[in-house]
Amino acid sequence: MSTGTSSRIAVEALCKTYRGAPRAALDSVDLVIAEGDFFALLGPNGAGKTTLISILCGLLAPSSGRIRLRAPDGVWLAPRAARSFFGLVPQELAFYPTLSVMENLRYFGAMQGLAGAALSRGVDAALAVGRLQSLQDRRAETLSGGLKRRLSLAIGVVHSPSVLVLDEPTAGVDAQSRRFLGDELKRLNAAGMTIIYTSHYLDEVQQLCNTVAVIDDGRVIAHGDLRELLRQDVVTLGWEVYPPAALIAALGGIPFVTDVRHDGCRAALVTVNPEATLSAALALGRRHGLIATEATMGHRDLEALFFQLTGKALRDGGANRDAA
Amino acid sequence: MLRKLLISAAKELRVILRDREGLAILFVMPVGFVIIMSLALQDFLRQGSDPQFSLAVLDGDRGQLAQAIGYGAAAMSYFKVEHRTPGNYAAAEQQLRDEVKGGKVRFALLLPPGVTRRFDAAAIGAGADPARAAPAKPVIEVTFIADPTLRSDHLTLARTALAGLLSSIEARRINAAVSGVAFDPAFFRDGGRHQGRLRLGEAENAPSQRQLQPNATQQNVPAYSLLAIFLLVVPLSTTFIKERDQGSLLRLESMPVSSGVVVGGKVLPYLAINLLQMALCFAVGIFLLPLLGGEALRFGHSLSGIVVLSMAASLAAIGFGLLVALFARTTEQATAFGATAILLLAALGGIMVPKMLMPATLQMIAAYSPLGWALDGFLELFVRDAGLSDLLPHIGRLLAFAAMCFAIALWRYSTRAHLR
Repeated sequence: MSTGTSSRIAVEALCKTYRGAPRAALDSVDLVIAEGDFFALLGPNGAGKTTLISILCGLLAPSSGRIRLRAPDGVWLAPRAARSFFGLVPQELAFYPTLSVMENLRYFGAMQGLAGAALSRGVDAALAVGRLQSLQDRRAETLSGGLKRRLSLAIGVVHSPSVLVLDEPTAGVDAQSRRFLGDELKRLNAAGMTIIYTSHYLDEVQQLCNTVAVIDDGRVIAHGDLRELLRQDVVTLGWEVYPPAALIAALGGIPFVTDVRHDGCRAALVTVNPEATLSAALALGRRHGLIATEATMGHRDLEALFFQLTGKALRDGGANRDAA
Repeated sequence: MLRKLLISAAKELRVILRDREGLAILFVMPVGFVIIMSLALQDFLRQGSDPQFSLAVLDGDRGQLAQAIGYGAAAMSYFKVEHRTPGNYAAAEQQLRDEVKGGKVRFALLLPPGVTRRFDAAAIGAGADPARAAPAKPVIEVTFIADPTLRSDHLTLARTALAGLLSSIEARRINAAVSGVAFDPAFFRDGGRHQGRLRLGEAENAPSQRQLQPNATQQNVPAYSLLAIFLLVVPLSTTFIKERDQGSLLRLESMPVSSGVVVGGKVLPYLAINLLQMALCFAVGIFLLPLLGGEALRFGHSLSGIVVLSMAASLAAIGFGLLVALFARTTEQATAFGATAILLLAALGGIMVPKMLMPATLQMIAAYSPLGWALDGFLELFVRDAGLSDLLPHIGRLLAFAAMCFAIALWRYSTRAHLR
């Protein structure tokens, strides 16, 4: 894999199998994250997202393969050596509830190696990111859910990291706090910070991120520029009865169609020429004795892409693989 | 590294100090135990391990027999004698019986009016003409009343001692009559032991001098201080597990922070708390217990021994706490296992029941309890007035235990964090 000068993180043939697990949590994962990317890592529960993030942040050792981060001076480093360039905002709130906002920021800043004036500057900047200046003496345990998330984000950026990793940072917070966090992350990204972001809120990801990787069963099944991935159009058809398998197969044979999703009495056709696809699909339906009761054309959104890639079946069985 | 360690320790101390309820328990619990157990076991663990009981002598005739019994019993270490000379004997007897039954007085001897005269008649008569007295020898029975709740061995001890005293008095009375000298009850003030010219000296290097026999204060002050510092396993491990569950440990692991800083940051504040606990308990032993009727704790001459032994015991406790924290999955597991393990080690180590009272087999097992090592060290200091060099075996064992726990804890922390 080529890692150009704009690459910030390179993941190469990364594998991870937990002791005693029947399947690999990560299976030959290759990824490149460019400097300044707002990168979304998506996947169902148990897909391997948290495992990948844990290896990225030096919390886990891979079974094979490697991850490297290019430091600001251009030197490529392994995750453990690059820890000071990372800022992690975990799923959990990850601070000390009985300490004040200021005490938490100063403590974690000091653990990142900041001292003296640099520590004070870092804390002031972090307070500004979380807009927590007026609450700096409040004990963290007395903050509301949204404020706690903001403190968690502030701790993650107290040392101005090159790469900020956020693992579901908006889980369980209200719409206003999600909006605030999203705006702050956009601002940080615009200032040059590379952001790696996981979330189950796909509309949020679509608004924030410019690149995306979808991971399932430990494998990357889609990776690239989000606009490119969503550029393709979709033609949706509906009938009063289930379409025969022969019709579905025939729809897949239409020249412009790249993918067919079939769900009950409906079918969605991913195409590069929606008008021609729609005419051909209606004609095929009539040939099979079916008159469409619904026929629409449109761009697909991230949720549609996600379900196209990962399916709609529940993923209860994989939960344990991603528990670490 | 050192700076991060100190900042980490300061953070930990701040977190601990903000848990006021937990902190109060850490200090109130051992002080309560020290006071209650030292006072409760005061009689039982009196110096030399001899128990002492209250004995009332009801003297109905103000004669020489009651005087001799009073003097002789008082000369024994077992009895604290109260000599009563009532106006109304019958009423006084009834009152005394009630007092013994109620446990206010442990033993009583009843000497009704005329008992000295009857005793003289019987004893001197027997001495003057043994051949004639033998068939018609009257028996003067001194009524002996005992607290019904007493242990049987204590009852036997008291009865044997008093029976021996009565025999001595009788022999002395006969001897006085035969030799024509006046019977003097004051002879029994020194227990009537120096009757002959040939005496057996006190035993040298007797077994009792090798086995440390502390009084209640010497036993319980260090014992319950040690129990308190080892019970720190519970708050230490639960704090650690909460930190893990809340994610702050995960965040720290993602930072350039060594496992030594994370683990070491826990050690320093808990060491300080342990030393404060010990100092408070010792202060209670020195200043408060005497005010409450207990014996005061005397330190001996080795302050350095006390400090080093306390630190070694504290490090052993903290090491064990970290071990529990890193192997337990939940706070419930840590609390249940940590507290149970410490209480078992405490029971085995002679914290609750002094080791000298244990059977030989249990004493052998007790040799494997870190709490027992530390307690033995303190007993050496307080009872035998040992110095720092005498404590080295105890300190060495505690430090070796601590080092083993820290090594396993660091290994566990490192592998748990990075090598899964």
